[in-house]
Amino acid sequence: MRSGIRHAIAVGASALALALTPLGSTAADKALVWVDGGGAFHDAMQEYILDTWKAPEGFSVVPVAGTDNAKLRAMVEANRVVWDVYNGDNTWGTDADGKWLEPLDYSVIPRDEIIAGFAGTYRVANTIYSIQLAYNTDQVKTPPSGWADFFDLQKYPGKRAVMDYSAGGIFEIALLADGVAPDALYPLDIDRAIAKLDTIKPSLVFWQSGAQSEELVGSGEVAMVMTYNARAYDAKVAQKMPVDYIFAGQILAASYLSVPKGSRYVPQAMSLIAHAVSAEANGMPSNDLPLAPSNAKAKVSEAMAPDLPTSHLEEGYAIFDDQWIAANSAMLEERYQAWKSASQ
Amino acid sequence: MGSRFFQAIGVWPLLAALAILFFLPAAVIIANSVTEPPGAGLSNFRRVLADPTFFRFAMNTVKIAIIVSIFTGVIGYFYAYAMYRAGPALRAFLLTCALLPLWTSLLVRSFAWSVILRDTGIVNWLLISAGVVDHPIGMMRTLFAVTIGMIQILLPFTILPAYTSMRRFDSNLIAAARSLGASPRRAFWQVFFPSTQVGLAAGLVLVFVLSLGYYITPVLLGGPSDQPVAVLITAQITSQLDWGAAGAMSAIVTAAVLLMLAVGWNALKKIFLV
Repeated sequence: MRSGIRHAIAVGASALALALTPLGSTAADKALVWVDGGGAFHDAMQEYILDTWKAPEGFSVVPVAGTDNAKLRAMVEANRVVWDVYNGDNTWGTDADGKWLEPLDYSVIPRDEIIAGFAGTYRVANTIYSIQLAYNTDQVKTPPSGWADFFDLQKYPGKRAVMDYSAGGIFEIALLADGVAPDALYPLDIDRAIAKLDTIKPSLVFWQSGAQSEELVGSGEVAMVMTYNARAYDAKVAQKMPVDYIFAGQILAASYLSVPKGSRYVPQAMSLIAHAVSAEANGMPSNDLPLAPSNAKAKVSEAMAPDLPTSHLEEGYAIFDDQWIAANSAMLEERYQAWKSASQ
Repeated sequence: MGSRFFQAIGVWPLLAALAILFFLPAAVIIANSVTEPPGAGLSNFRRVLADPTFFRFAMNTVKIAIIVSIFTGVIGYFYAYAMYRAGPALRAFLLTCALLPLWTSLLVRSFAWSVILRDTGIVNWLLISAGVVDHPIGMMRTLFAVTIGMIQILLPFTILPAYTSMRRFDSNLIAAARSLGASPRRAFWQVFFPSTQVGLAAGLVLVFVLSLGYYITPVLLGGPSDQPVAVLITAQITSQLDWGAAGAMSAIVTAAVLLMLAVGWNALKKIFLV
């Protein structure tokens, strides 16, 4: 009974995987299922990572859009794992999630080439991105210089949009704006962060999806937004919205590859991950998107270099402490929901 | 032959689909409340019920449900009365207008309201262009926006039961009341309304119950202090992976829904089962 819904989820996912199997593949093909967030991110992964991987004989890669940590967990617990390589965000895959993941095989994955801090027992980063400040250029004429300006309604009137997620960086930007040094962010002083957030709470708008964050700042509904650097880039460059962004005070994060525990094709999954983070392939997605490689030896697109988070480290940045966040996620969520829902 | 076949199998396929696609998953989610983590017992319920944040979200949910029920009840009843009094052509038009929202995706309707109500939206653009106001009126992310969005979406659920009860009303009774000297107003309130209020009651129960589970509309149109329990449940499942707490919250909401249905059962039965 309890495994009923999980079974149903797993069956649904495998049916989806089958339906997505490219035409022309034979029944003998074994499908290695790659899961990412979809959209432009997936297109870059498909072109530069999945299509350039020399799959073992009899294997092909089937992409699935829609990362979902709860679904992954359900699959593992129901023992019906149909995902093999999972490209999750920075909150997923720390040692705290070890019971749902296979340990990575660093005999094939080039750990020593990965930038320090981005390779763990259960996950390895494949792209480095950041949370940054973007603004509407019709409303904000003088570029802001950091998160302090995000909280300065006198100097920069207008609403602010923030990610509606306790572990997404909202407490971090409040503390950075309040003068906390980036390397002294953790453990987060939640009381201080909330006090700072309360100073602009009536002007806050909460976004639930990256696309919404672009829409809010692009339409002028808000003057400034905290969002993913790839979203800010998309709004400005691809959507040609009146949007620009700054890298000062950005919070670095990474998307990580992991293998759900009980995957049918663990060795092949490790091989695909090794390719994804290799010096040859890892920098290629920067041809299309402002995603920096995690492999120190990887080359990036010269045209994209000015828009990569890693090109602006001298302007000041912080890094998410994923281990601390994972260990304190319940507390963060509780404080966040209590603060957010309180009327002022 | 075909119709005999369908008569023979009756509603069983539908019931089977409901059982597999709705009752089973719902039962599993609720079962999580006592089995997750193993040996949880009632600890999830104690934790949730002692949590002031849950209480606040629950109050938001009930508050919105009450406000929306009152408005949809009043508007829906008189809309149904207009349909009842109208000629066939106008009635068909009114019915189409009432049903139209039901055929549009909930997400699209909610987003459409945000385009209308936001600071750079249609209403504020009109008001500013016409010189009525200098600065946009903040309507988005308020209780007002949630209420108006939900009213528009839920109106059919009060219009249709009210209209059903009016169709069953014997119009001779009004003529009798008038012939005995009642004013039109008195005939309405003392004869027509008491006979048709069961339709209003059935609609109110439906709207209240549906409001308790609303998610997309409050998320898109509401402010931080207008968010319903569904938001908290989602956060527990997707970001906290705490299926025990989510199960306990779901069980509490389900109990509230069943309680409301029990309270309104008589009215619902009269409208939908006769």
